[in-house]
Amino acid sequence: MTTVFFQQMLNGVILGCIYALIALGLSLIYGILEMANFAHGEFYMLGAFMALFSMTLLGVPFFAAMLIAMAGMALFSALTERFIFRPIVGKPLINSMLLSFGLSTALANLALYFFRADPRKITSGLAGIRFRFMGLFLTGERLMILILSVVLVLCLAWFIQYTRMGKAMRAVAQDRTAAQLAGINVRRVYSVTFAVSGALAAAAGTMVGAMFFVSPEMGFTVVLKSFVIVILGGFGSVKGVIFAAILIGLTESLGGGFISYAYKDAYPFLLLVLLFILRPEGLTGGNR
Amino acid sequence: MRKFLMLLLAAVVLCGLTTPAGAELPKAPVKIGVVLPTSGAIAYDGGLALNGIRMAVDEINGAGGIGGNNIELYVEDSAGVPATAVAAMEKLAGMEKVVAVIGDFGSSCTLAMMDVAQRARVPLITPVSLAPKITEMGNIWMFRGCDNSAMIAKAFTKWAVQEKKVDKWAYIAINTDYGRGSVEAFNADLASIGASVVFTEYFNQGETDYYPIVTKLSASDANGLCLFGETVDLSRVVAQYHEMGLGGKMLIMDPTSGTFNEKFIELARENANGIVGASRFTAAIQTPAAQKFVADYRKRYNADPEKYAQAGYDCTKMVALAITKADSTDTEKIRTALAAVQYEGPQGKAYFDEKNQLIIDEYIIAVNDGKLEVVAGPISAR
Repeated sequence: MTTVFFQQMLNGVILGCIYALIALGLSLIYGILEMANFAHGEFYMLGAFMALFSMTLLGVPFFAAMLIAMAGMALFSALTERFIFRPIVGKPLINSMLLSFGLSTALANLALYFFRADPRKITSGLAGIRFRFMGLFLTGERLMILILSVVLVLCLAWFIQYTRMGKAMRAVAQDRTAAQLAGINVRRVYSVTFAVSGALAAAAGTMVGAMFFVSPEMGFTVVLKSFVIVILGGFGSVKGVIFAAILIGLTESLGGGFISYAYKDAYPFLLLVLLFILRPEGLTGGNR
Repeated sequence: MRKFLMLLLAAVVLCGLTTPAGAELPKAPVKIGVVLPTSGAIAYDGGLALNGIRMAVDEINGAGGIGGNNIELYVEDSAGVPATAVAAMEKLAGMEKVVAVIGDFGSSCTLAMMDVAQRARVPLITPVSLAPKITEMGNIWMFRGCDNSAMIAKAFTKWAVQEKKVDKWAYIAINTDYGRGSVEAFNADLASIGASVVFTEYFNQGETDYYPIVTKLSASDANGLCLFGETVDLSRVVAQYHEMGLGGKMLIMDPTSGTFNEKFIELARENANGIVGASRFTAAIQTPAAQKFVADYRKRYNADPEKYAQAGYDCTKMVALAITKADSTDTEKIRTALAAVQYEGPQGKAYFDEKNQLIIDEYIIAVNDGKLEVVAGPISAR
């Protein structure tokens, strides 16, 4: 029974790592542009398809496909910011919610039309390798996902903390007007924020596509869960989001394994309701 | 107001009486409606049934149609959502004025559509839905053009327990009327033949991460894993079952054949091998009628047909036969003719019982080296 418990914990942590990659992108956009991007799930879906097609049509290996998808989605995401989201920067939140919801529906349906509904799998070639230690199972693919997501999160943290652009992003997040007065090119910061967010979503999509499947509908439930994570973690907080993502992964895994799997998707939302009652300021107090 | 309503009612009744009953088929296309999921998590499976339907329609139209009239199909997408299925049924019956509807796929959708069929007086025939209660509710407008989970349970549980010695059953089933109805039907049969149930978990349609379930399953002492679900969901269950290192620990059983199609074998690859189940149809059935159907289907779709395509095909043929027999587009007459239909399709002879449940034989089938084969059967459903 303890083995089963730790196996469920391990499963939950891996799930949480993927959630973290997706939610961080959402959180960045909220923190810097004060927008809720419901089309984020579709960026994740498109990233997965981009990786899939790079592998099946161009014949590149898994890691190269993931990099292509990340670069492609960074560009796509920055373009959506420039041409779709920029006109509503600084407008009330409801504007971005409605706009991105429309974009989400449009992208999902276009994907359904062009890519068809039948699900396809990205083959990383590592699913067949199985590790076993202390009674716990882990496939090579899941180990890779664990490592890759940790590396990506560390890269992001380094980028935000130490690079010029990262510092500019933090400045804009704190006070847009003051940052502008200090000579920061705010528009460039917006583009970069969307690009980073799109690249992270594409990386997550590629890994989920390898672990599970790629399909036009894959973005929808993920985006709702990611919003739960962003709210739980405190809007805009990187540490908080990572912590909340792992917590949600564990909740799903342990709740699904020990209470009832059929209600798995309800546990994160229950957790959110509990948080609203007990700690309305968020898990980490909403600091940026 | 009441007087006016009574008058209106009388007028409607009179109109009904004076319409020339039993008029011959008018010279116009015969409209048949279809409600199936062509988007959403079970779009692939819904598309298979639609393949069979389209093939049957082209065959009938190619041979001169029904009394010289071509069949016109009106296809609506339910996306596997009951509310959408009801809206589609309303549209087909109310606006398009179809004479019969084939659909839906999931039992929850079909159960939701049944009331509309009764109210609109349009025969509804499902090619796929397995939940026994669909034909147990006494709705005379509802037909099931395939077997149901109680019939499958009867044929399959006896074979699995006696031949394969599976006495501790685990279920992983989809959280719908089909999944829950099937588990219920199987439990009813298992108790009487000395097998027990040690594990039951449900998942929601379109779920991706089954690790919580298979992890929990790894701690149970089941020697048979019984799956109820559709192609894509089950391919994930099976893949993650093997990732967890459970391969060989239990016999994987898919009695309702959600996995016996080419897409599943493509997705699951070698993990598909060894899965056993029951099915009313598989391309491996060697009768001349079955092989002709398989060859025709291959020519058209470049894939082997499975039971959803077969049922889509059979239901369309049976509806066409009923309209021909009724020699009318009057839905009441078509309903009566359909209930009395004597049909012989690719799978063999079939007819409806007094509850509009199709009586059809079962086969026990298995995946061996990426190919489907017949292990036992035909087993009579009566």
